[in-house]
Amino acid sequence: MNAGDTHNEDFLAELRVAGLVVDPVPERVTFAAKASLAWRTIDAELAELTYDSALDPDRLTLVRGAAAARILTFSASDLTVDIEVEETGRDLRLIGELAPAQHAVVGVRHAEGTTEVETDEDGRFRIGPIPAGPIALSLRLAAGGMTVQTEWITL
Amino acid sequence: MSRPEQHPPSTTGLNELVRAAAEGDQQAWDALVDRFAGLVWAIARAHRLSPADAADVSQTTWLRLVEHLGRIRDPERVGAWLAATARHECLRVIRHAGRFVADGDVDLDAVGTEPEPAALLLATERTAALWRAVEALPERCRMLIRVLMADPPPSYEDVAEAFDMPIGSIGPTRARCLEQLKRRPEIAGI
Repeated sequence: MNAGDTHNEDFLAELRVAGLVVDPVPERVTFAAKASLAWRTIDAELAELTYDSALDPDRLTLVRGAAAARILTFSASDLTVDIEVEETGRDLRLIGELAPAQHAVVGVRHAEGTTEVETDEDGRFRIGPIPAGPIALSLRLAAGGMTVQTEWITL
Repeated sequence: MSRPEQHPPSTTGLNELVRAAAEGDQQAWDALVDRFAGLVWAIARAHRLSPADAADVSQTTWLRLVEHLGRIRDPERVGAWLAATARHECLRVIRHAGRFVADGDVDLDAVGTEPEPAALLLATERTAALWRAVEALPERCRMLIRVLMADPPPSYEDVAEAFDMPIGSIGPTRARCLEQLKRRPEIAGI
């Protein structure tokens, strides 16, 4: 390591202290991160986020600036969940549909706990208000007793 | 050797921590959070997310790791995994908020500058000057330096994932950005 590198290391150490003073990780953020291990699920299948209108460039150029609903799709091996997100300030309402259509108990996990609803026989559900922030859905399928959990996403 | 290596975080133990956390070991999980919470937070703040949005992105990133604990292919690279996940979540939040330009790039200038952190008022003159100098850097440099400021120091591999940059370009970019920073008028003579 040459003298310039050493100097840069000292400079970065000084910058690091400035970061700790001016913009430290808030305690509540670390606390919530540590508490999140409680959401560990062992036997649920994971439904991955396969579509997000927020990342769809075609949609973005169309609706830029407009308060268009956000559309999400989560996909597991034998199940697809489509979600439409309605936003009212910091409150959200989710309108969802399972494909193939089937009955399930839907739990939305959010910052303040879990909110549950049952789907109708066509696999449709409506849930809210729930607080904006990290959200995941847990779907207990009536047929087979299987549980599918979606990936977490910031809404 | 008189000094520690330039980017010292060794990956020793990460494998064990990830595997133990996957089994529900809270202490192992806490150790992972202590090791990488600063990196995840710095990535969110480097993207100019507000403290509230940065808190949401941090929490989503950690919850994603919880759900993927048993599926991480290379536990030694969990820091890089967290960095990439945090970056994706930042872009999602930024684009959803409409801070987006047509060429597919994020328009970071349109995000707007937030008021200076209140902590600046309590900081020493030198610390406040350093912070303002970093804020005044060109965008790429400002973001890189902000992430390099994470505590504990991130590895180059983790930083590369935070910006989707080749790992080999981190060192030279870092040197160039630090040179620019040292010449900023904010810190001249302090």
